Amino acid sequence: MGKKEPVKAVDDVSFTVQKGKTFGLVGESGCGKSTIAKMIVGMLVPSAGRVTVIGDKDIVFQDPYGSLNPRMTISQIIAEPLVARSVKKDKIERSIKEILARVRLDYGICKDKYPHQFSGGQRQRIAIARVLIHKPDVIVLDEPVSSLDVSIQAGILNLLKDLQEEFNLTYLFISHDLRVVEFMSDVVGVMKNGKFVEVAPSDELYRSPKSDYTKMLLAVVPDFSEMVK
Amino acid sequence: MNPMQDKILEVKNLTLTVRNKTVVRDVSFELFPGQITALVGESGSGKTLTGLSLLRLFPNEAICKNGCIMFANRNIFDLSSEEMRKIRGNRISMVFQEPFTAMNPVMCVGRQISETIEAHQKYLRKDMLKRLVELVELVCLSRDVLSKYPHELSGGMRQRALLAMMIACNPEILILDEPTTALDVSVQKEILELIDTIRKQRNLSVLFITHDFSVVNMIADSVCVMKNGKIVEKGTKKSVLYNSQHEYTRNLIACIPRLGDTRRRLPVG
Repeated sequence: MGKKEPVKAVDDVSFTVQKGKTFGLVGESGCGKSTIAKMIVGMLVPSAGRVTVIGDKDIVFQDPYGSLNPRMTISQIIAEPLVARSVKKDKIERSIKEILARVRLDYGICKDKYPHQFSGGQRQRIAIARVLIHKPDVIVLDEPVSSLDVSIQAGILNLLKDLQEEFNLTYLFISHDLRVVEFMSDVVGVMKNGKFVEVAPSDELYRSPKSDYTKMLLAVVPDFSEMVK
Repeated sequence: MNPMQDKILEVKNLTLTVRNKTVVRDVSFELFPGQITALVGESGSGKTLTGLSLLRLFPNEAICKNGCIMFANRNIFDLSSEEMRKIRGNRISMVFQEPFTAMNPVMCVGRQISETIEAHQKYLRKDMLKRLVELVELVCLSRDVLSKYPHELSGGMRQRALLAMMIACNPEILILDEPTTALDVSVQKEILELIDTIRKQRNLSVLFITHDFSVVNMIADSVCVMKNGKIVEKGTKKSVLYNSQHEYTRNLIACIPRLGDTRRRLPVG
């Protein structure tokens, strides 16, 4: 094997996100979206530059199968962030009940079950509940609906919007689906090969894209706006 | 759809049960040469199992309670295992959703394609090489992929290689189970265009299984919408997508965000 040049997965990227708003990150596989996500929550350390998050942060991963511990019950999984913060037991139980209701899961039915007993959409709601229970200021959502059916996807997107309004949450929403990103985001950054090719307010970027790459991505979106009026 | 053209396969009142649970109920549809028929539905709607039954590849616990699948004047359920083997991969073949697991990780691409061909046809070594090059070039890959292993290919390239493998024996019917779900949109578009080109070139009949109506809109000629094991609506693409008579179909289409969407919330069925 020859010596390999280190790869710059993310290269000189700068952006800010306002409190209570959603920053959408789009780009094709391998463009560096998830690397940014991991740097924001501190799972990766940037080799140069800095990530500043004011307040608490957490992440929801794409794969609701891989991100929940298969040996823990739902209430144990959701309680973990609070246990780690030494919250009292009775308060934890109250919080679990509350948060499960928010993601429309029944506490009595769910609490002692294991992740494998749930469908993909339910698991993603469990993953979201686990993050929401400690009300982080910033939530990174890394392709949170990409593996779900469109009807389940719609439910999760609505839920994320409702919770954002209610708790003034700040989202970094990552997806390769430009339609979903437009629906969710206030500001959108388009990434290619580790760099931003364009960052603009959502309506501006979708209405009059500046870079050729954004135009190309928009052109291949399988859209059917004319289909339903 | 051209009604004058003879159907190539007909599924009639197919009903399948798995451990006493009916998962496919009274499903009927037809496939035509050169036509793409989409089978659309959410997870668990029975679409994959319906596709698998065309190859009689459903799980052991599944029992066909009723109905038949007519192909070349024979009911697929009446064929012997030997006869069925001659059909699979040869006259009817299937591309699965996950291009990672559908390929053998320890065998190079060329060997995998030739294995499929050798199962049904005899070729001399030099002719085989020629055939392999022809096939990978048909799916717009360069001939070097023949000596590569699946892990060396991107998702889009793997899906192309799988397509090459599945059309290697010139099948009459190709079943595609969510072939582009795992791919980026720009790659998805390329693969869909490739599928469209191949079916036109070879007058191939395609059963396209998906949950994504926007993909259906791009590629299908006719559409069957499945829910809980049943076909709730079927017809030409135009009638099902643009003038649906069924609430379930309309809901499924409406809950997808669209470019320039001004809705604050999406309808949930």
